[in-house]
Amino acid sequence: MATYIQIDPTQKLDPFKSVKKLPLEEYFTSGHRTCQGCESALVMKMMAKAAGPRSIILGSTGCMYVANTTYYSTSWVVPWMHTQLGSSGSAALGTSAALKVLMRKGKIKNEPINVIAFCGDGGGADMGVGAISATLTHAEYNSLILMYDNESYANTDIQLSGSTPWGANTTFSSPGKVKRIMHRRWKKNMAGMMAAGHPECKYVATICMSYGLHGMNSIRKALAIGGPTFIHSLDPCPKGWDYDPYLSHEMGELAVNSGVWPLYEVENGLLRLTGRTEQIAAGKIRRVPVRDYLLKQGRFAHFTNDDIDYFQSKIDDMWEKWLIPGVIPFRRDVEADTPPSS
Amino acid sequence: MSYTELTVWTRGIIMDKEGRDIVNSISASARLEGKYAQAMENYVDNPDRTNAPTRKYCRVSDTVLENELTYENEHPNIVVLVEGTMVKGWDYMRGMPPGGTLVINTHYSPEYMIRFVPGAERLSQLVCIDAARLAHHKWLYYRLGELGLDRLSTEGAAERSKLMAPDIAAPLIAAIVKTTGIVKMQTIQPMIVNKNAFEMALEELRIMPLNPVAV
Amino acid sequence: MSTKGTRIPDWLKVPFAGITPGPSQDKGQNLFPTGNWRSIRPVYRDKLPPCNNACGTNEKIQGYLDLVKRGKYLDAYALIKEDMPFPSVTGRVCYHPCEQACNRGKYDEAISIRAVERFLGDLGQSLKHDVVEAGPSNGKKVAVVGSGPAGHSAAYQLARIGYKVTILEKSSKAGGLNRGGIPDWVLPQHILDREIERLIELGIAIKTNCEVGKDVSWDDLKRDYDACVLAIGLTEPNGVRAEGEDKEGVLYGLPFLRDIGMGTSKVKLGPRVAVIGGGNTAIDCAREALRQGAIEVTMITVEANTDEMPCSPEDLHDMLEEGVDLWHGRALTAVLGAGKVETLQLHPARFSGAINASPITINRNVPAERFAVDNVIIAVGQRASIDWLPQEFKNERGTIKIDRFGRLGDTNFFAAGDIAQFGSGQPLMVVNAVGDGKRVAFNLDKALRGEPLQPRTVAVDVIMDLNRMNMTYFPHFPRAHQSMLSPVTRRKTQVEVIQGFSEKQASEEAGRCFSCGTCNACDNCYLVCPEPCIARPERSNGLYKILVDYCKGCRVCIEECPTGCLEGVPELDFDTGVVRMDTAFAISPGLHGRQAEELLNLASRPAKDI
Repeated sequence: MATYIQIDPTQKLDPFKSVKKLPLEEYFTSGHRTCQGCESALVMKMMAKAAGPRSIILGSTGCMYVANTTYYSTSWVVPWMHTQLGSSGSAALGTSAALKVLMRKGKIKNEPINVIAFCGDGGGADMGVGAISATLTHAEYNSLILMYDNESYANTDIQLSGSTPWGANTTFSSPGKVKRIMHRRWKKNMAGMMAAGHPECKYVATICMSYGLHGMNSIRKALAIGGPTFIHSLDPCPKGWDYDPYLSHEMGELAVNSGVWPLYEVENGLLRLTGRTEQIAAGKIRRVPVRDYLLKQGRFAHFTNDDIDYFQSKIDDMWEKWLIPGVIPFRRDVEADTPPSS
Repeated sequence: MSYTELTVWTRGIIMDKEGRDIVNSISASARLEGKYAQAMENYVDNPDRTNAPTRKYCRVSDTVLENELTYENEHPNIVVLVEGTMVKGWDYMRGMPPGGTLVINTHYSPEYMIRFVPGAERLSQLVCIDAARLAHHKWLYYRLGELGLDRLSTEGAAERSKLMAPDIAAPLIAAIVKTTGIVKMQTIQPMIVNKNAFEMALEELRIMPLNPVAV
Repeated sequence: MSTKGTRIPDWLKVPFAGITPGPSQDKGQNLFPTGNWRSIRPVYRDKLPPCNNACGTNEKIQGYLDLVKRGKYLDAYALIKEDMPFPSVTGRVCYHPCEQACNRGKYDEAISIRAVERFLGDLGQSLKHDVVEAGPSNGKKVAVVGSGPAGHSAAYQLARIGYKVTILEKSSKAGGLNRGGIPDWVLPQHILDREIERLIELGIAIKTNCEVGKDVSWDDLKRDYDACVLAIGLTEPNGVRAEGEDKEGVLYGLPFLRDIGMGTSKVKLGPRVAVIGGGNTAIDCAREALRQGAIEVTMITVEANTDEMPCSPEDLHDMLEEGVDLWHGRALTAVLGAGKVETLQLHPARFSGAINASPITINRNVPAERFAVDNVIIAVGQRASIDWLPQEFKNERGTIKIDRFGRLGDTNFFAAGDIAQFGSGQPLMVVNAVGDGKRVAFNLDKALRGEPLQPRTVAVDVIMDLNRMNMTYFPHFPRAHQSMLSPVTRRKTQVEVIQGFSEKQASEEAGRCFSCGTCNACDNCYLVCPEPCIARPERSNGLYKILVDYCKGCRVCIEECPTGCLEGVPELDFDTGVVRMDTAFAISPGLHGRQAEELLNLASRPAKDI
C-alpha cells in the first residue's frame, strides 16, 4: 500500500543566498540566560531564523531549555514547549501527529507548520536515542530533530555524555595523579547511525554554526524535504570545553578544519560532503593539525604529546581508512589500536 | 547585641569560588570567636552560567540566629562586589540599613565609582580595593574570559582547589575585616592562603568615608 | 481515554507567555536584561586604513574601493574627487605609496589600487558633466601660480570652496609637470587636456604665457588678488659639475621631456645615448630616448645596485625590459669631444652617506673609463627659479621660506608643491604635490576667514594593523594585473604602455580589499552574535546597533570582525548602559509582584482561543 503513507506538504524554504539576504526578523530574541559566548544559543537563533514564523519549537531538558526559559520567561517568539529529557523524538512525532489531526478536523487552519524538536547530546545521544530512532521511522509525519552537541551534560556542570570525545576532562573524568586519561571511549556517531539505519528518513546532516549560512540552509532543507529528519550540530561550549568565550566561533571552525567534525548530508540516501569538509576531501585545503584544536581547550590541557598523536592518528584513520571517510566507521582491514598508557 | 548580614555578589563559574571563600572564611572565624554564624549560597540566581550574577550570604550574630531558614539576606549591612562592573548591574543596595559598607574590587577610585551606586546615602563608607592587581593579573577585567578554571565547583561536585582564598578573595576579606570589624583580624588571618595579598591589601585599600551613623 | 469533558481551570488556559512580558523581536524579553553580565563592551570605531594614511593626498581609498565593489562607480568617482582633482592622471602616473602600505601585501599581494583609480578616472573622463561643482561664490579672487599638480589641486579646491581662481602659467599650455615631465606613453595628452577642461568648467581662468617675474610682478599679485598660491615647482635642472657640460649634445632631463611634451622639441638624438641619474625622471628620459630614435641607451648611476635607486621598481623593470643597459657605481667626470659630445669620462663613485653639499665620493685614483656616445642626458634633479621673489622669503635651500602652514610670513601668499616640499623629507611626487596643494588651499581659505590654520603635515590617527584583523574571512586571491604592450612594440611608439582595467577586473580587484579597520557592512557581527543583541534595523548597510541592555560581553563579535572595526572597551568607562536589576533575575522589585497580581486577576480575563 504505497499510497497509504502520504507526506503532508511542507513549507517552501529556499536556501538563503547570502548573509545580506537573511530575513531581519528574530524568533529567538535576546535576554536568555545562557553563558557568555554560547554557541548553542547561536544554533537556536539561526534555527529559528531559518525556520521562520510558522514553526513550533519543542525543547527537551538541557541548557537550551533551562537557560532560555527561566522563571516564567522565554526568549522564544514562536510557540515552544518543554518536554522531558529523553523524549524529544516522541514530542516531535506527537506534535506533528496532533497538528495533522487538528487540521483534518478543521480545528485549525490547514497549513504547513514546521515542527522542530531540539535536544542536547545527553538528551539525544544518551537518553533519547530510542525515541528519536522511532520518530525517524514514521515517514508520514513532518518533523526535524536537531541535536545540539556540546559534548557533555553542560547544564548540570559538565558530566560525561556519550558524545564526549576521548580523554576529555569532565566532572566524571577528571584527570588525576595516578591516571591521566579517565575517559577512554570515543564519541558516538549519531548522524552516521541515524542515516545508516533509517530508510524512511530523507535527510540527515551534520552542521557547525561557525559556518552559519551552511547550517541554516541545512535546516531549511531538512524542513522542506518532508518526513522526519535529523541534524547533528557541534556547538563549542566555553564552560565545558574551558576556553575564553571569544574563541567560540573559532573553535567551531577549527573542529571542521582539523577534520574532527566532518560536515556532510545524506539526502534521500545520497551522501554528500559539504562546506569546508568537501574542500578538504577534494584536496583544496589541508587539514589543520588536531593539536591546534585540542590545546586551545582546557578540557584537553592534561594531554601529553602521545595523547595528541593518538588523537591525530584516530582522526587520520577516520579520513583515510573508513569506507566512507568521516561518516561510517566500517573499515577494510582490522587495525591495531594502541592508545597511550595513562 | 549585634547582628550583621554580609552579601557577596559574584560572577557565576569564573568567580564563584572567590565569593564562597569570603562567606565561608568569615563565618568560620566568627564561630571560632564563639559567635553564631551561617554561610550559604543562592541557587535561585542560576549560578551555573558563566558570568551570571550570583549571591553568597553570611550572617554573624551574638545570639542564636532566628532567621536561619530564610534563604536571602533582606537587610545586608555589608555588600561585596567581587567584580567591579557589577556596580552598574543590580540594586545590591536594596534593604541596606543606614551605615552600611560597600566593598568593590576595582582599580578605579571610590570617587569615580560612587556615581554608579544607587542609594549611596545609606552608606557609611565605600571601599575600593584593586584585588586583581594584588592577587594575580589573571583577574584583570580583560582576562576574565580565561577564568574557566573553577567551572566544576558551582554545584560542589568537584573543586579543583581546596585552598581557602588563594586568589582575589584574600584582599577582599582583608578589606571587609579591616573596615567593618565583623570578625577579629587575628582569627581570620591564619586561614587565608594568599597571605601576601592579604597584607598588601590592608595597606592599599582606599576608603571613602560617607555619612557617619548617628549613634 | 478521551479528554472530552475534562475541565481545565481558567488560569491554566492562558499561556504563560501572556503572564510574563512576552519577548519582542527588537526589545528581547525584558525580564532578563543580561547586559549586566558584561565587563567589556563592543564598540564600533572606524580606524584609519594604511592606504589612506600612506596616500599623499589622503584619498579615501578604502571608501571608494568599497563603492566599486558594490558597483556604485559614480559615487566612488565622487569620493575620489574630494581629494584628487585628476584621478585619470594619478591612476597612470602615481608611484602608489598606498599599495606599498596595503595590508593585503603582507597577506598575499597588494591591491592594485592605482589601476582601480585609473578605471574611475577614465569613467569620469567619459562623463558629460563632472560630478563636482564650483562652490557658491564668495567674491574673493585668488591667483595660483603654476598649473602643475600642486597648482591644479589648489585651484580646484579653491574653486570648490567658492573663490574666483586665476591660474598663471608661463608655458603656452597648462599642465606643468603633468604635461612636461611625464611622457605621452605614460599619460596621453588628451587625458590631461580633458582634466584641464574640467578646471575651466569650474570657472577657473587659465592665463598661459604669463610668467611671474617677467609678465607679472610680486606687487601685481599682491595688488590684484586677495591671496595667492605659489606652486611654481622646481624648474631648473641640476648639473653634475663635470668638465665640458656645455658641449653640444648634452641635454638635461626635465627640459628634454618638457620640450617633447609641449611639442616644441627640436632635438635629434644620435644612435648612442647615455642617461646620467637613477631617479624616475632619468628612467623616463631613457625610455623616451628609445622612442626618439636612439638605438643603444645606457643608464649610468652612482648607486651601487638597483635597490638604492630612488625610483619606482616597476618602472625600472619596464625600462630594462625595453632594452636599456644599466651601469652602477660610476659618476660622470668629464664630457669629451670637439665642440660636440663624443666620449664620456667615467670614474668609480659611490654615495658616501655624508650629509654635505656633495654626498658623492668619486675615486679619481683609478684610471677613468671612456664611453663613446652621441648624446648624453643629465637627469640628476632640479632646483627652483625664484629670482623675482623678495629676499625675505628665500631660504638657504634655494626655495621659498614658509611656516608650517605653508604661509609666507604673515602675507596672504602660500606656497605648495615641490617648491615647498623640497628638502623637507617628503617625496617630490605628483600625489604629494596634490595633497600639499589641497591642504594649502584649505589653509588659505581659513586665513582669509580668520580661522586658525592646520599644519601641512597630517596628524596620524590609529592605523589598522594586520594582526588585529581576522584573516579567516579572506581567502587568498591573486592580484589582477594590468595588461601591457610588449617591450618590442612599445619601445618605438608613443602609444600608452599600460592598459586600463575592465569593469569586471576593477570590481574584482576592489573586492579583494580588506577594508582595514573600517566597517564595510559585512554583517558578520550580526551573524555570529549568539544573543542576538546586534540589531540591523534596516537593510541599509553598516547601521548596526548593539543592544547594550542584552549584550553579555562575550567578545565573539570583536574576535570575528574581519576588518577589526569592532573593539572592546571596559564597561566602567561608560556612564551609560546601567541596567539596574533589583535581584539577579528581575528588573524591578514589582515585576514578580505584578505577575502575582496578574495571576490573581486572570479569572476576570476572557478565555482565549487556542
